[in-house]
Amino acid sequence: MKQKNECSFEKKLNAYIAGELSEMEHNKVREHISSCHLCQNEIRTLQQVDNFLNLYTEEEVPAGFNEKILNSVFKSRTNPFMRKVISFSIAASVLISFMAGIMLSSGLYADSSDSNITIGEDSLFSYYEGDYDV
Amino acid sequence: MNNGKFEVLLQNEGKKVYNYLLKILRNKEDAEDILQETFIAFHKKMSLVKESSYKSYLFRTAYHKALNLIKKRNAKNKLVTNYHEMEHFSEKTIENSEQKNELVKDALSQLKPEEAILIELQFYQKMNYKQMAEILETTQSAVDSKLVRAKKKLIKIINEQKKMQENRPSIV
Repeated sequence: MKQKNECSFEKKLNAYIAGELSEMEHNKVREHISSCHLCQNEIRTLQQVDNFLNLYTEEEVPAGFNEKILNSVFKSRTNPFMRKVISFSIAASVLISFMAGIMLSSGLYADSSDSNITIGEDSLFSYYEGDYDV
Repeated sequence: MNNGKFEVLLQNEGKKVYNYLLKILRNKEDAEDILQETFIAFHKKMSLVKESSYKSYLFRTAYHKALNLIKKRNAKNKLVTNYHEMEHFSEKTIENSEQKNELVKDALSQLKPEEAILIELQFYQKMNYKQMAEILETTQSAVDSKLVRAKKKLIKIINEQKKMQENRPSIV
């Protein structure tokens, strides 16, 4: 006589263990398992997987790593559009300052060339000629 | 505004996501990089995510980022590395938690990333089929059949590991 090596309930065992079956199905599978050696073996095998996975002990995140993440997040907190606006503003102010500097300095030279400053050659001659008391 | 919540989430879930990444990537530096990328990406989208879905979103992000990294890795190199690491185990007795962790990592890294994350979510994160289906954007019945397949593969891997342990030469 050929021995049965597969059971139609086998596919439901994982969901049964995980508690994912409806109450009615759950009871039906439970009842079946009590009389099916194949399913009992399968459950033991699945239990083996759980025992194996239980070997794992959680490892700690390296010291200071959370702070590193927070710092990275803080750095990227300003949104990209605002970052562009800020960069543009800085560049614009530098340019305006530069242009203003050029305009002011050229204005100053223009003034000095047109002005009637009295200290001229005559004054220097006066100095050398002893018009000034030293 | 969300920064307080973000810090709490990092404290509560950071270690869990890190351990998931360690298990499938088997490399601390890679796990740290992906963890950092995951939380930075999460922070950018945080205001769009429902608070009840924070954890799912984190794991989904970590999963996709890890998947990309695994794809980038040279498959040939990976196989060679695993082979050497398996040999390394067989020369040791499995006593301390570090060695036990390496055994689990070795087994999980031999699964497909999609299978490994299902094991992670069900066993370590205690999620139900509905939550897992949401993360992997699939159906609950697909989650069930993939989990069954993953566990069957794991059983084979565990048995192979056992054989290697039994066949290892005794160190006097």
